[in-house]
Amino acid sequence: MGFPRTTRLAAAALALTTAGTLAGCMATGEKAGDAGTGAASGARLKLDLTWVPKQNLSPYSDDALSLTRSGAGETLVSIDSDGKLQPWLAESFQIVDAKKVRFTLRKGVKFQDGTAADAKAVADSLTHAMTANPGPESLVDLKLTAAAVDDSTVEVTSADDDPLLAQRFANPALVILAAKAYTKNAATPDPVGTLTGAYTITKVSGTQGMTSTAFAGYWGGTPKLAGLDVRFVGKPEARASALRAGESDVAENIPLAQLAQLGDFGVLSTPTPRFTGVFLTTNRGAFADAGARSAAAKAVNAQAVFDGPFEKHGELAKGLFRDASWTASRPAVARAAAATPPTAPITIATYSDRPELPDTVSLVADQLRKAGFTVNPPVVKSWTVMEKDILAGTYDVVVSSQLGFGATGDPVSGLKKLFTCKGSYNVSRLCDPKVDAAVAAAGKEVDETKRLNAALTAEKAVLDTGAVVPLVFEDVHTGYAKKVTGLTTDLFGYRIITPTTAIG
Amino acid sequence: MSDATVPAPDTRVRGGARALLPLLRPLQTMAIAIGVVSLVAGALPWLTGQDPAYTVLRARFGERPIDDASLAAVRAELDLPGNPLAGALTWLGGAVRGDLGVSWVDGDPVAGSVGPALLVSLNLALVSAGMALLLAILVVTPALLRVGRGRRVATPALTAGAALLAAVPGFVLAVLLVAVLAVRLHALPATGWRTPMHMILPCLALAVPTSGVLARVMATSIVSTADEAWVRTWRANGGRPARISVAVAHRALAVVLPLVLLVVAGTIGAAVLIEDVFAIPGLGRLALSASLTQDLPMVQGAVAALVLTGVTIGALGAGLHALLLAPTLGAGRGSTLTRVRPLPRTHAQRLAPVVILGVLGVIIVGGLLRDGSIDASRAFLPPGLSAPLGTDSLGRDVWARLGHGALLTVGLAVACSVVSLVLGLLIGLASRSGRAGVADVLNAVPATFMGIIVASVIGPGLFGAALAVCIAGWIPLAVHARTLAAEVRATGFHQAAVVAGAGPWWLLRRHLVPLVLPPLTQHALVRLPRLALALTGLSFLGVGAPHDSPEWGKMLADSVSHLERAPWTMAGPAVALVLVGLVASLLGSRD
Repeated sequence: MGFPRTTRLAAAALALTTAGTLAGCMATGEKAGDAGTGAASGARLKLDLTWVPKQNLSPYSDDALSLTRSGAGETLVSIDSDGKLQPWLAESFQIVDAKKVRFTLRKGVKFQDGTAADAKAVADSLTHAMTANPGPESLVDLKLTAAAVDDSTVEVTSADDDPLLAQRFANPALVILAAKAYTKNAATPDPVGTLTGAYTITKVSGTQGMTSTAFAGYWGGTPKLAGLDVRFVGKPEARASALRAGESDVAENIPLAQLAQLGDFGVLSTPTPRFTGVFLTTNRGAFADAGARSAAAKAVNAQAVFDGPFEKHGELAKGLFRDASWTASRPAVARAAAATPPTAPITIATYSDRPELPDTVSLVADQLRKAGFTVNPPVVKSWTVMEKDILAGTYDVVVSSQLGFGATGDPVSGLKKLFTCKGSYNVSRLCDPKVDAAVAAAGKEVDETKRLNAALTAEKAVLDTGAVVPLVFEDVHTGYAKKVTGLTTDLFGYRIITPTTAIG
Repeated sequence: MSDATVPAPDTRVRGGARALLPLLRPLQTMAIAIGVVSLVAGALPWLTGQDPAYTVLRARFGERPIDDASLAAVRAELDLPGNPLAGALTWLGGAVRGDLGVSWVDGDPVAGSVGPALLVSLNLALVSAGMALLLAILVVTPALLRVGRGRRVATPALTAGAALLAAVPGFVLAVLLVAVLAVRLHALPATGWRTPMHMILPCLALAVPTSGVLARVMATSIVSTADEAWVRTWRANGGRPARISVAVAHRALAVVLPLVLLVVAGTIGAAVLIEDVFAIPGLGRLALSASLTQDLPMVQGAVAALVLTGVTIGALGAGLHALLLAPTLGAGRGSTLTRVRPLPRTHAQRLAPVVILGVLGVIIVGGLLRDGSIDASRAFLPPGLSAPLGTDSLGRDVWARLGHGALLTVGLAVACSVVSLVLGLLIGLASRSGRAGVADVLNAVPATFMGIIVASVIGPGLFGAALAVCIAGWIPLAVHARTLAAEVRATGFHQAAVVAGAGPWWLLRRHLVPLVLPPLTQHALVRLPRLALALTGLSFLGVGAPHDSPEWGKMLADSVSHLERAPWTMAGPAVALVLVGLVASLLGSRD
């Protein structure tokens, strides 16, 4: 009697749950993508980037990296893969003195909105960055001013002596933007259609991706591609599988564990100044004692880490700076005599965001145990959750990945940040007068050779304390389909796509 | 239902108002829940002791040194409330007017981020729940056909099939599906959420483990319904087998549908791992990253959206359940539910759990005897003489780790199951209404969010993780118990006992518990491997098993990135977990 009705109800219930299949096709979380009709006739390239935008691609946040990597934004100068400064949007630059740099701009450069990128526009753009708070990392604590001298010359002046003044303008946070970018909110400039690069960003889909098309008025000639479809994919494994499944043409930062599977794909490896090291907390606990630090430093076997978790990618670290011609004269490290390991258990930690670190921390803990230390099980959490604890010296040992160079490409500012009493990122909580003196002395050198030699002396002062044991210098691996040509790379991984990047 | 049968003596107005009352209840629950949740979410900085200005700045700049000037600037920009209550009230005031505020991290309106993400997640949850239901129906179809023909219903194959499906770890399945179907065969897309093709893999990864649980619940219902008198009467009177099958299926569906809706509501905010693997812009990931960066308006917006959806779906589930069971629960149509008499087990049925237990015993004891220490020079050795189950990325023997992790894994999962079972039984029996309530709220709030709260209150650790999982673990069991109890209360013998003046305690002891507990236990047992895996899902907080621990869920999570190179690191713990699920189901089944 009630039978047909109940069957109908059951069917309706089933339909309800499966209805999503049809209804849901539309819920993609983004508006329908317009492919963009570029002036150029080339193909469109699909690019997967690592960094998920946090502030609508504002150049004053880490989102800036996506602007230069995708060929949309340009800075006045750039740092090449040897760490040397090269002209970019500026045709040339001249270091007038320790307080002043003069940039000579290229003629006829236009912003993507059609306005002229002359000296006045560039000086205005730089002034915006210099007065922003919080401003770009490479300008922290500096008193800078920028002014147009004539149509094609911009002068930047620092209140204090600054040997790195020119280098600071290679940071992606200082991409040059048209006046239009600042109209809505000067604290978070809008890079859509206001940059100078080969590709104009036309649409940003929240934190998912962005589309760009070739900029017909680009100063360097017509770009080879018609445009780019960029996705922001935070999960490394997802980037690797998207590349292998043919869903992207270029995938940034492929994790080491996936490299072996990229047989038919090209891999562009960039040596970076970033190193993974063992940091011992020096202001309290077991490793306040230099002898205990020496014992731990002796116990840590960097080769095993390089061969194991890093699978021989990158470079075995001999110091805090990667091997280069200038590090050939590196003095030998002389640490205090090793003491007997303390009996109290020590704590060790790392973060899970970098795929190699969790295995590295297990291995280092094991090495310390074999050397007679009592080591608690490693603590591993995500970076966001544990950064404050790490910087506060909560753990006796921290396995961490740090930049030996500062954001400016300068070795001395890296040391200052990581190892001096007032260092803003002093994981070891090291405060050693000898280290501070050596770093301060190096910081005063303006001449490049002298500065680098002084940096080596300061490096030895740091390593002598045993507060840090560098393990491995990391490489960044960008995977690409073999049909893609003309990709580039540099010391900091600021750039990937160039105007000459092409498909086929 | 009395409203429908008894003519209303009063005016229409009053009848209308009374009819509206049940509809208002969920609204009330919803309002209270959103208030509480926005308060808890707004209290995050006070609970975690972290400065939101710091975490927000950290979100914008990965490694920038943080100085006081920028902190002050961000703090001014955020307009941080003085205390959680004031913050929640301001937020609620805005929310009532449809203004969810702007994100602290990117400065965009929260509604613009939460809305699309909710749609995506709802989409993902609906399709995967639909798939799970279809899969579960496929699994139990042979049993249904047997009922119609009057054959023995319960088979070890059914029990084993459901247990196998339920023990599959979703995130491992996801990575496997991508590796085989997307990367190797290029048959389906590996990442993104654009076309129906993009739905297949992520939904399948979510649906398979769920389908096992649903199949188990349906199977229990089918077995007990098959024993009811009317089935025999129909058959004796020459009822068509197909018709009997459909009628029994209808009962099983009525029991399982509230669970399906629960799955839908629960998946919306909790599919973080799957969203990650497939780069899906869902609400789970949004809520998680907002909680971690303490982007309070975003957390409040996301969690409020989850609660709203959860309670709505819960109300829908209750309504649906009432509709489907109406013929059984209606006056004079009482079902004749009987206690399932365990049939004598066949030889194979008795032997199977013994054999599996034996295999597990060998794995555990053998593993305990082996050396599981780190030896980097032996990394990724395939299974062979020196390491029969292979070695992992640090050269540790997989077999040894399995043995050493067994007690922790199984012990925790069993403890969590028992707690969930007891809570689920008590709460399920106590809630007679079947209305949307607190359970729906807790179900909708993602475990990761709960984990952050629990970890900040009692500190990180295995206990905290277990607690965060248990907070929501009992809900499906409670919903199941509620449904079962409704069936029991509709039976003739129960109604007779009530008429005869039996007290509530007597009813509970003699009728409710004996009939509700066995199927509920089977449900809890089939969920056991899922609990073990749920604990692993919180490891990013440093809660759950310690880093080097050989806990099986952790082993699985670690093996995922080496899947293609060293599949054996995944095979060991996956097979062990499946075996545990299988043996638990077989031992628990009374069919």
